[in-house]
Amino acid sequence: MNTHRRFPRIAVPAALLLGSALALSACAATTPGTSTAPTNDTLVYASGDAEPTCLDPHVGGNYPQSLLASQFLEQLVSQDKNGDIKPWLAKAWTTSPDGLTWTFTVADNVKFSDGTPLDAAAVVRNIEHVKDPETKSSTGYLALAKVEKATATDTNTVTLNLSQPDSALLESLSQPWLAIESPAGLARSQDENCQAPIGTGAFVVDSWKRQDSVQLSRNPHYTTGNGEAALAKISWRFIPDSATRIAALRSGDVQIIDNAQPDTIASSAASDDIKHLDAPRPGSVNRIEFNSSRGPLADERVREALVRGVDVNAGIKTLFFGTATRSYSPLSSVEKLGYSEPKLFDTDVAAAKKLLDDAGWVPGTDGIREKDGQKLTLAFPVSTNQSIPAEQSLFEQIQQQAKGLGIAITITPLDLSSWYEALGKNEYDLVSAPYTKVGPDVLRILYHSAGITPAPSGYFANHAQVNLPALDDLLTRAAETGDQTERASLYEQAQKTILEGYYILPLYDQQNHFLYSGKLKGVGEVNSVGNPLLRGVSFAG
Amino acid sequence: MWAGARRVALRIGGAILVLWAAATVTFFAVRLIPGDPAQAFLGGPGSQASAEALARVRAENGFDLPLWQQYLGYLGRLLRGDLGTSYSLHAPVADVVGEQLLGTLELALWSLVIAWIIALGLALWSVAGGRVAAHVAAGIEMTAAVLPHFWLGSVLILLFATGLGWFPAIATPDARGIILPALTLAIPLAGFLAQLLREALQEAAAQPFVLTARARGESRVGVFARHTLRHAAGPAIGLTGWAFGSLMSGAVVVETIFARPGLGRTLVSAVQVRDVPLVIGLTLVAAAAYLVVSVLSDLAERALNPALRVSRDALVERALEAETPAAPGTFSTPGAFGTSGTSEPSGIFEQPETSGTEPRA
Amino acid sequence: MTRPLLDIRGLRVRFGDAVAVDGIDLRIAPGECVALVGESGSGKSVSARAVLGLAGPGARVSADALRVVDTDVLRLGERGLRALRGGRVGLIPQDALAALDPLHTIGREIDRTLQLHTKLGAIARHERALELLREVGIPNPEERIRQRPGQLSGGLRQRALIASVLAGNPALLIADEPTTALDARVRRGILTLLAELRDRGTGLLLVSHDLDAVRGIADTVAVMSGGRIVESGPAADVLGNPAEEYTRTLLAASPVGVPRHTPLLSASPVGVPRHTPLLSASARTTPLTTERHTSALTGTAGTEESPAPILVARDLTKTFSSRGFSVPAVRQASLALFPGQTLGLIGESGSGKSTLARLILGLESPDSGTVDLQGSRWVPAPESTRRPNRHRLAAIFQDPLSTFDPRLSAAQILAEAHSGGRSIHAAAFASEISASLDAVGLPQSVRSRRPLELSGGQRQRLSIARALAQNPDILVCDEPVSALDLTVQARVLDLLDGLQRERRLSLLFISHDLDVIRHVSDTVAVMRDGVIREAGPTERVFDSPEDEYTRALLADTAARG
Repeated sequence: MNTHRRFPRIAVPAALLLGSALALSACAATTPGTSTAPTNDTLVYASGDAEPTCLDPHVGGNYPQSLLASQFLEQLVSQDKNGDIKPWLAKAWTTSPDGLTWTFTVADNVKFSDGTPLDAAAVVRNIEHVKDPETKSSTGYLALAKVEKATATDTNTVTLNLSQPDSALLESLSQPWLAIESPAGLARSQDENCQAPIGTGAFVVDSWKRQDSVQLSRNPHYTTGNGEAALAKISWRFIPDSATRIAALRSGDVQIIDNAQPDTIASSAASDDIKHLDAPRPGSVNRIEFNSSRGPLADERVREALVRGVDVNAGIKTLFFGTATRSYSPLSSVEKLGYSEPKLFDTDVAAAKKLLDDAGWVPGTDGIREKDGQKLTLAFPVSTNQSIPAEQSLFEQIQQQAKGLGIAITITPLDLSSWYEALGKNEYDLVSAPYTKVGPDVLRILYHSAGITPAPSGYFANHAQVNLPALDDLLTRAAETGDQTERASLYEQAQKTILEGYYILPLYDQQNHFLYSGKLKGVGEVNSVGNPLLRGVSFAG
Repeated sequence: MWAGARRVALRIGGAILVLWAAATVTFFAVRLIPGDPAQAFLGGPGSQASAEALARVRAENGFDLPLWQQYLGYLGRLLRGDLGTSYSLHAPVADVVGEQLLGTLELALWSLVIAWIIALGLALWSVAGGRVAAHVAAGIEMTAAVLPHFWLGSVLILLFATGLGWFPAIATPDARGIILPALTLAIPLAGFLAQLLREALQEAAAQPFVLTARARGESRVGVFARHTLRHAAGPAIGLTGWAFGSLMSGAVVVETIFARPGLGRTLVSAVQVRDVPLVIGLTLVAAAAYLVVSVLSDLAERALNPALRVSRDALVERALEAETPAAPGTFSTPGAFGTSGTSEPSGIFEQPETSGTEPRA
Repeated sequence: MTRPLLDIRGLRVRFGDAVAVDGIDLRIAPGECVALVGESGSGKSVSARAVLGLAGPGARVSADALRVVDTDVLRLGERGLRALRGGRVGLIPQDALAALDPLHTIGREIDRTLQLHTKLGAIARHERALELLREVGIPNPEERIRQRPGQLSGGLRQRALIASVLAGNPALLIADEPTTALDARVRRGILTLLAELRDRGTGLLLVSHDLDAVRGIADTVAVMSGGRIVESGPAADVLGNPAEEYTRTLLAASPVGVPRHTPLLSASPVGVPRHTPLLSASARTTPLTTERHTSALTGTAGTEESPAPILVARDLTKTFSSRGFSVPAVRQASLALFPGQTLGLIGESGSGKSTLARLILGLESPDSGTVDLQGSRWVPAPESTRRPNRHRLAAIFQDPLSTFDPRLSAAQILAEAHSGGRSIHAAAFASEISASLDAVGLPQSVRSRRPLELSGGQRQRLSIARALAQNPDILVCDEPVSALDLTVQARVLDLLDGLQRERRLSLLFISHDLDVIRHVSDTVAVMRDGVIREAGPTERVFDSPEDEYTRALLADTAARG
């Protein structure tokens, strides 16, 4: 019959379309989003950071890895609120008088979640793992640069032999990138271990679905804390868009978010539904570094003029809604050895202009200063991955103010790779590059002249290219001395030198804000790098 | 049969050409932008990798060879079906793509379905509702078509997730979780589709066979359902094929906003770390998916409208009657060329052009 | 008379301010065929459609009475109208190709009518559909029922359309130009079918501008012009002895029986007075051979009375092939064109006449054969050698609208023609353009109009003007008047005649309309399946055709008259 013959033809494309859409959604349970629906004892954490490529913080070593790893791995030592080092997986330690030998005693009766006991051999294995080039560790590797050898002198004693004294060793060991993993876990292939490292933490990694989430569950054999964790599960999701993150928090789909933007922090302050955790990262502050190796900024007067000619305080206050405090130190406010000198940064536009005049930079016809036919233009590549929109706006304000001084700053937003390229090629005058490390030893990495030489990867840390033998000496001695008072004094002098040379314009701590649901209690414990620890968190009521 | 086989072969050849072009352009595009691919291996740029590690990575992957040599090597592997291993994820590209493909496909299909529903509704309303409705609908269509995904997605989250709480802000495995992302993609597409549908419907409604149908006693709805819709659907289905490509690219933004796993998000991070094999693998998959959908929509259009199926007799017929479009009909005596009376139904068909006669009052 | 099937009194249809139908009366009894004749714009189609309530969007219909059978159409609501349409009144629209949905099979169309107006089940409907197809004379209905309109020939298509209308069993049929664009034989068949239906008791309202078709089957004829009926009465009276001037003009415009060179309309705008034939047709022609593959060739040497041919085509052959299947479009065709004379080329669709024209124009190259233009080789020849002589051949076509660039005004089109395609700057050619417009009888006011704004007749005149601008010796006319109203057609034919004599044009006039050919041609050639079956002086071929196909063709024409 004609009428019936017609049907298959029209129906086919329509049915195909509809059918496949519906069929796919039916089996959607197996495809995207294996995130468990939030139940009463599952906490959903939404991270705005890039998803790690490997969950083992020994490999590579960046901040997103540490956020995750601190839930299931633990370090030999920890740091308390005052910045003092406390025992953790290592219960005691001693140093030889010459500082070249360290002896650690491992804590008793601790087991990894796979049942392997924590002993000296395990610790040695970990240290070897970090130092092994095959592991491709960067942060941990650098931190253990001075450690030559690690041996298990008996079941619970580890001896480290150093090439030079290292006053920062304990601080380094407190970082998650030197966490202790189960040797059985390390024995697996790297890919396997990257999927689910085995540690002593309050949680264990159940599964990791790329681009989606990492599922953690409670470790029933957890002994190093106050008993088992209250939460049964954690669903760790990656949500790159900040608007979506905060929306998800407000709608209750997630309970904690990181990388909270200043405006959302401010707007959430009013309500009780959402609470705020401020955990500035250790190490350097967020600052603008001036490339002293080239161009106009090689002249200290120009640097000082730029620093004193702009006023960043008003900008910081408004753009950050009061969530960021101005810093006048090279070190983070959580560093107890931080030294700050606000006076150096008082704004004085007239003085700044005079400095520029004295330096020979004369205003040209377009308002921009010139000298010997060269214009006073400065290149400022900005990494959109590193700088949040509020910070980028701050830079633009600085740019505007500098124009008033006759300095033309060119801001170029770049993606991460291109930004590193630009830095590697020394094509910058100003740059803002955060650096997270526990302890004042970060000053050595950032301001010692050795930091000017690029690593084979092209990377180097001393962006200001500070090259002062006196400063080098201070930093080297500070890195080696075992005397805490001397150490404090040396670092103070070092910071003074850095600040007075106007090599940097300190802005504020590395912002590390978390917003969480008012339904949670026990939030607030953070480790030495500012990772919140969820082992003590539970749902209220 | 012959003709059909040849056409299929041509199509496949064309598809291979497209895929090759996609792979080549992507390879050079990614490699030529600044950034060291070796870094991708070692956790991204700024990973402070050691010299040995970098050197080893370079040697293993031939990064120190000249670019054209790398390209040829890569092409050779592709021809063998080896998509390579992702630098950053350390997993076979084929696996990564396979995992992510379903998510994006699901999103695209849902978006298509929702877009069609909205477009049909709008087009119908504007055709049936009179002049005011037509103008309003046209305005809605135009606005919808230009809404950017990133804005629309955020607004939808604000309205429906945070505000009304009807849908979750982030992707969940159930149907509720896909509505907002699909809507974000569907609304602009619906704008385009509706415009096309409306014009096609209006054109179809002006055809003479509509009068015949109404003179037969057919109701307006009947005319729509039985006649005009099918005529109007053809171009819209053709547009759908194109739309699929734009949906895939829109998926990049939508997947990021709604934190949905899928090809788009993976592609963004792959490009950021210069993970060449992964970028190429994803691009190829997207190109292949687009080609498949193209073919499907082509087939659907043909199934819907046999006028597009040109047979050999039609070609000859057209050649013979080049200047007299309004003298239709083939041969008044059957059997002149052995067509009308034979058992094989001939495919003689002329485009229903407007007849050359004067418009009669 | 018995209760009329259709009773219209004082029907008025307005579109906004424009009045399309200005108060007409019409009555149709069962078994009666009333023909509503008139030209474009007379309002006849609108009237017919108003009976169904389908006068068009924005139409305001009013009448003192508008009844179909016993139903007052004006009082019907939407549902009532739908029952009326197809069920009691059936509309057979013109041009079945456009009137049937190309995406539906014939069977589907018929089935739909059955669904709407009968309560038959699916199988019964299928049976009835086959029956209907047989009734309307479609062979092999089981196969046809599954085919789409495009797969049927013109005649079968029209019959299928009629079948789909009959399916509703209407008491009254409205046939709107049912024979337009159909070939002679097909036209006869359709008219016979309609006459049969009338004889069976169905009322028939025949709307047409084809007076000869009307003559065949109408009982009553009403002539419409300007929205009013100017004359009506029994067919024999109105058509044989019209009382009104307008009707007389209409009848006069028919080329049937009008000898060569006699203007059809006395008020010919070209200004050429009525002439008696200059020469009798027979004195002008030279003897021709009468073999099967006849060629209309004469000896190349000219005499005083018969000048040498301006174009000679010898044994042209052209085969079209696509993917292994080849069709010979033209086979060994030969003909000759003489200055100041018209060769009429008769053929039905598919005979190859258009291809032959294209070959002669040099637009296609033949597989074999030659064309010589005034002694020098024209086809095959490289375009570079032809270019200087290109202007000598011009062409006009059935649908001039598609040959114009719709953006250009008439003046620009003529400027383009006068400048040899180099310029459309009308101002530079102002005088030539004026002259061209005068020559074809177009008022100067059309200069600024675009082709879409012109009527069909005006467009054809414009295309003639354009053709003349290049000063041709030969004018190929491919169905130039088939799409025109009778009076307009008459004017264009008169125009061509006048121009031909003025400029000694040689015309190749292609048509399927035998009456027109007979009127305009000095010699004719009959083509079928790519072969010229017969050729010779017009009178001889028409009075005593030698080829059997020609005979059959002429028989159809005679039978109709």
